[in-house]
Amino acid sequence: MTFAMCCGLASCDDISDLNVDPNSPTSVPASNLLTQAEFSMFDLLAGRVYNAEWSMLMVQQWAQTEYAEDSRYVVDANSFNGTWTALYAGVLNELNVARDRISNDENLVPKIKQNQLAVIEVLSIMAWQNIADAWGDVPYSQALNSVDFPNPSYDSQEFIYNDLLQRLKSSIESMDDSAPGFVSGDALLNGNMSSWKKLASSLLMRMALRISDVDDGKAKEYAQAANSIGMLASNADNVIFTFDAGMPDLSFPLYRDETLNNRDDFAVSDVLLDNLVSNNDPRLTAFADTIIGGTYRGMPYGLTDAEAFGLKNSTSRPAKAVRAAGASYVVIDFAEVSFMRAEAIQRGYISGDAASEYDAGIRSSMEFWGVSNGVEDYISANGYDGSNWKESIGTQKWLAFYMNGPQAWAEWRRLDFPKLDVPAAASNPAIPVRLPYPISEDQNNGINLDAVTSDINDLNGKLWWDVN
Amino acid sequence: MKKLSLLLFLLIGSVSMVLAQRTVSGTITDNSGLGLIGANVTVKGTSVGTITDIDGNFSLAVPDDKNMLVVSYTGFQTQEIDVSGQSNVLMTLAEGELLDEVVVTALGIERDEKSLGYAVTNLDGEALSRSKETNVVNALSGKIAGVQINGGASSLGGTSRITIRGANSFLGNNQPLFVVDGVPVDNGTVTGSSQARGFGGAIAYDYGNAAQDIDPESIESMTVLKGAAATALYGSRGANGVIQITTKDGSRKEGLGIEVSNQISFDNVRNLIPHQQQYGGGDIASTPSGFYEVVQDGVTYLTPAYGKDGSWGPKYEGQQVRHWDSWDPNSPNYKQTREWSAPAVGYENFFETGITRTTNVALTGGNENGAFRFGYTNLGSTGTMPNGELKRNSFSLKSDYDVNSRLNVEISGNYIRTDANGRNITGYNNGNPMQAFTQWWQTQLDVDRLKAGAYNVDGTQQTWNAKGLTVNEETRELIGFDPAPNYFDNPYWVRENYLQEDGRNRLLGAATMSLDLGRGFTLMGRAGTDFYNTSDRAGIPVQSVETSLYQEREQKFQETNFEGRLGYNTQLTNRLSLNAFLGVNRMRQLRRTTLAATSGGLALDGFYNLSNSLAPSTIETTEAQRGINSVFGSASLGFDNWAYVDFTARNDWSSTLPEGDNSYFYPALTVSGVLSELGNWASFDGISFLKVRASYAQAGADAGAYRLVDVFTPQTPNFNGLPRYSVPNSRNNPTLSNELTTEIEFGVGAKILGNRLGVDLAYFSRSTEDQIFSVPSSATTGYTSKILNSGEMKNSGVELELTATPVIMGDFSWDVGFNISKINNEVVSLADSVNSIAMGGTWAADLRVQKGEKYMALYGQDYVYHENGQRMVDENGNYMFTADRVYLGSALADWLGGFSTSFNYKNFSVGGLFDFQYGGVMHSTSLQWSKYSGMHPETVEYNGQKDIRENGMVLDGVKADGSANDVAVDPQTYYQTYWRRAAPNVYSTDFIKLRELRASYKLPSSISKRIGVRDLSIGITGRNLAILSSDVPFIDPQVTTSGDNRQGLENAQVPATRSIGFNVSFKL
Repeated sequence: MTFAMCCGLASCDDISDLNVDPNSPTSVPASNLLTQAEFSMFDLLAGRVYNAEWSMLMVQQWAQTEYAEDSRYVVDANSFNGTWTALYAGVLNELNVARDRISNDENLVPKIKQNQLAVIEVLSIMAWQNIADAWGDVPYSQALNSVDFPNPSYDSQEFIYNDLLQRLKSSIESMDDSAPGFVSGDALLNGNMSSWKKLASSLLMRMALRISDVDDGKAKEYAQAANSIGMLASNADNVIFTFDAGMPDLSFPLYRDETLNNRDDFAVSDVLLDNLVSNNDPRLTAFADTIIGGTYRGMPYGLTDAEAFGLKNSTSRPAKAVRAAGASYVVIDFAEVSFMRAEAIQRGYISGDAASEYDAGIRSSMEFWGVSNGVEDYISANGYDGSNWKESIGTQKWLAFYMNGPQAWAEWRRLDFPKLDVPAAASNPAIPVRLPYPISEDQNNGINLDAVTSDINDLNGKLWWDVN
Repeated sequence: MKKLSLLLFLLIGSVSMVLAQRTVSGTITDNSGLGLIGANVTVKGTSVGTITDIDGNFSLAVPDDKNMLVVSYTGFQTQEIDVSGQSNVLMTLAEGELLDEVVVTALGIERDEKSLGYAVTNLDGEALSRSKETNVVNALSGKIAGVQINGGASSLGGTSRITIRGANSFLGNNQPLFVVDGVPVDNGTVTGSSQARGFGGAIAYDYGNAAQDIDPESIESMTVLKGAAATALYGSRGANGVIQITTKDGSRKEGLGIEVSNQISFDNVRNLIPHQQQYGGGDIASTPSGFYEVVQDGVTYLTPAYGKDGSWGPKYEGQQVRHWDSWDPNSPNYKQTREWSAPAVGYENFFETGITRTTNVALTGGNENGAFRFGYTNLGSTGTMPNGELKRNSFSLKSDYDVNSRLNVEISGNYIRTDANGRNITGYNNGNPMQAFTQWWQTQLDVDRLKAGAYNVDGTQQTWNAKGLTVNEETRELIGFDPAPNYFDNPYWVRENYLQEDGRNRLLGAATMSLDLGRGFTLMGRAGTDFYNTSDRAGIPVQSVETSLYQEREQKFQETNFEGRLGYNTQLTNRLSLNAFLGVNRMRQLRRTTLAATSGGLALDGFYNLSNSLAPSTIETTEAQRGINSVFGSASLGFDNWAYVDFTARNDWSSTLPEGDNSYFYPALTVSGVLSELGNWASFDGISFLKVRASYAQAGADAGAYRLVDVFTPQTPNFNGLPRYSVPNSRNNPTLSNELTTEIEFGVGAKILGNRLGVDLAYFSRSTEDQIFSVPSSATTGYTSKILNSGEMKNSGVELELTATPVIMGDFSWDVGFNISKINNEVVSLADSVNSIAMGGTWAADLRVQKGEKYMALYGQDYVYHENGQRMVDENGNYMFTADRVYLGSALADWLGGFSTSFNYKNFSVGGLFDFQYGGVMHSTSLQWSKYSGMHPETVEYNGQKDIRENGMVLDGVKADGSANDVAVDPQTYYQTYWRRAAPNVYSTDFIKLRELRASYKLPSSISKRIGVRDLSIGITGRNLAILSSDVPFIDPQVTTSGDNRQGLENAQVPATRSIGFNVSFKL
């Protein structure tokens, strides 16, 4: 009898019920994935690894105060595994799964469904452009489909850009701003579809201009489309992702780095500070803090560790506000739109007065940074030079993109201004123009990666759109 | 309630009535007249008995109605003696056939060792308790072939890792199953993967491995089951071997026995990395003196760069400088200068002598129907770092009772309460003082001054590494001094102000009923559980360089097993015996962790409460539940007492595999032949026992919980109130099936020269296939891994165990034991187009599970070697390194072994244990940074070259043409440029250690009696005394930061300790 009882214990109850995961749901609304995708993408673009410790250093806005290896282009091959993974397996996969859930949701009103899909599409394209601008050729058409393509092959940056431009234009056309998008979960634009439309067309202009040196015809076509759909029209339209100051883990990533992790690794570089000071740029006080004694002093860019440490306590830190808990990431703003319009006019893509667009760009940057005194003096002293427009626009974008390293680096690579010097102690003969491919990709998809590069650590091979 | 009344019944039942009896004493000797120690003497027809003492003497209470004694002794014929009318007898035992040795096999089944077709190793509790280790895992060091122990020598309940016969699972558990009195016991740790590779965040405390709750004082014997054939009956959970512990029980002797033992041991740190003695900390300023100049109130002072965490500062020349403790205006040291010189004592003075006191009291009693043993052990231990303390109170009760001639019930229960505070933080962290001491320190610092000056006069922290001075660049006038820590807190302040407390309640035990059904049938039922609750609290003060924090965690674990077994034992024919059983088991396991923590720092300093959080506190609960139902059986056929065949099989149904496809079956077959029992054996002179054995076995294993269905991961907290979910990077798989391990084993065992020499040799080959693991994939697929059945890992090896008694002369005997094993491990395959799984690393080295290499392969850049075998340098005199990271070895050793010896003379016994391993490697981050930061002695004197900071050093190597390098490099530039290259800090972990030395003396009974006790023994034991040979400079090669699979990355290793203990024990 005991035996029979034991037998009962052993096999008769349904043990599979024990395997229902109590920690994680099997189904969540697409809006919850959207919030996560928005947060993680902007967290990455504003954060330490890709922004402060790489692209802001590449354009010499900041300099390191100690352990100054990155500013001398000594790269740890593991550094960008996380960036690559976060963009593909994080942001893009979240958006991909969200897209499936929206597409399969039969209860959604068609217009709203259409709008939600467009929002997902615009964010995906933004992530893709960042990937392509960092690494060039990457898996694209076979990516994010683990069942059919466990080892995705690589696409050329040209192919990716052409496809993204097409997709972005279609998604703008599919938006219906008479209906809402995401009624909740949209931490960037709170479901406002007319804002999404302005963002998307401004992004279209950004992408069009980025390829203007290699495909003038296509650049013109899309620039005109962006201009006619309507981009941001004033600073009030700026698309800004504000971090959650109340939650330390969700606060501005460089606040977490500096204040919570107690890392005092960055000073404003002498290159940027000298520019600001010598031009009486009113943004000086918004960009940097004084040292004890009330003066500004930039950290010479690219020093050795010992040299940098010697100056650590006597060089200017970034202004407190740019690393505040509730600081924000500028996704796209009117200053950039104005500079883009100036360039599009200069290139003959659209009509207008390049100089006044350029002035408007400076003016709105000043306004954004909260400075007003001396703005007009600055503009008249730094007027638009149509014969050397790349320097005018390049330099002003470099200034306006302060704290937005990824865009500043991309535009510096494309426009080649301002002129930046390779530091004497550098380990690389030139300023890097691409990210090294991550080791994880070499380990897990090496065959396909080998087809596009012979050196995954290469920092100097120019991207497709970077011809000068 | 039922259980309680049964317990009371057992207790009461075991107090016996005293029958009329008389005392018979005597002496048992061998042919030569030498007394036989430990011979069994029992009253025939009863369970009354005793064993002989060291001189072969015994004394026994014999009931008046009994007259026959039975005397037995291993290796001698069992004889009976009539004691009618005698009170003193002398008996000579004739040497005879070797008696069967009984060993405890899987599920606690006792078997004749000669009938087994696989290797088991038995350790008696005596041998274990002699080591006086508080962590039962450590007590196994060097004693058993094929067993590797990592870590374990650091004090205060640190983690030890044990593996048997290599590693089987890529990502799963590779440590053996612990079973106490038939109850599986959890040996989990709470270390995460980043702590395992030497990181893990600000409060990465080492909470130890859970099996260390087992009280070594309560262990009667331990059986190590190594191969799949031996562990088949444990199913998948035994795939990494089983450590089966039987606790002590009472004997069915009349009356009450009381045993007391007490031990005190002293732990001192060893194997510290020394500092160079010629230069101080900071860097060289561009002043004539090399110090920074600062003007305060018109006086110009020299001061080093205390904000730097390194030691490339000025040379010690007795300069007068202002030190770190001269800037607090309220301090008597304010504006004081002191000499610039090496400290009189280094950081070794930071460490204290850890003291461990263990007191054990045991009560035993019994009668012919039952017996009980109640044990209590109190352990109190202080660590080698200041303010660390651990207390453990263990209560054990084991009792059995014959309800009638057919029914026996047994209860065993252990309650263990552990409390600790100030445990050690491991790895690369400010909270672990070793990070500063061994990696980022200023060599002139005097820890006694750091202790005296840990606080400013206003009570705030005073650290050596303050953010420090701001001066006017032109006038050098002092503008301000920031006392906040730059990178490091004062280590004394950390140990006094960081909060760490934990406590664990653990109950493990079983109730067993055995029923003799007659005609050879028996029935056994058992219910057992291992249940614990751990609460811990950790906090970081506001003034720390780390973000302040308070965290509390509750962990609950429970595993319950119900087991039933029907046995059948019969003699089929004259020559053929059958021993069979059929069993069922139901296992349920729950693990739940609730973690609550403040967010964004603490508002009030020193107030450790969740309500004191700057941002809302966070809380999360994780739970894992699983169950396995099993049916298993075994049939053993014995032929003519010399040939044996065993067939066992088990079928499991696991909750973690897909419904409808969750059943898996695996068999085992073993054969053994005792050749020495065959016909004309006597012709082989000198070999008294010879057995050959072979086995083939499989073992299935299931998946982890919740691996079948894709889920979403909650991301906390909400973003501006919006909930967030992510898609996990690892994709689950609804079509998983079981893993399968297959093992073959051959062995031979012999006893030679009148049993003076014993040899056991085993060969095994084991392969684990269809492993369930996260197969890495390109992140571009949207997932970084997917759970699959794939891959194969193989282990094969040879194990040799020798025991010998080279000398017996009169009262003197000398015993030795030796074991050695060679294990070949290989990751045979992973998955289609996957050759490597990245397991994380440090800056210079990383761990991989790499196809074709040993498990947990260490990768990093290697030197480039000239064809003449020398390291090559480039034209600038720097070493050349491979462009890519290459395989440098694995932490898994190839060769393991131990040598023990003991000498006994009358009441004296002395012994020693040595152990060794060969063929593993490790990378040391401590050595890497200690060179980078100018602390390592090599940064002032390299390869016999002196004054290298002034003159440069010529690296030991050759140029491209093979001629000796003659180009000097600047040491600081060299070390600070090439630190990401792994090879200079990769060492083999080969070692020979003096693990144990001990001496004991049992006082003559005449003296014991005078103070009213029996068997009074005193002893001294030294543990982890010395590393006799090691390739790694300074630090202990047996390094670990966790019980995790990731091994071989040293990072701020908590120093190993050497302990000396004194013990006394007696009976009442």
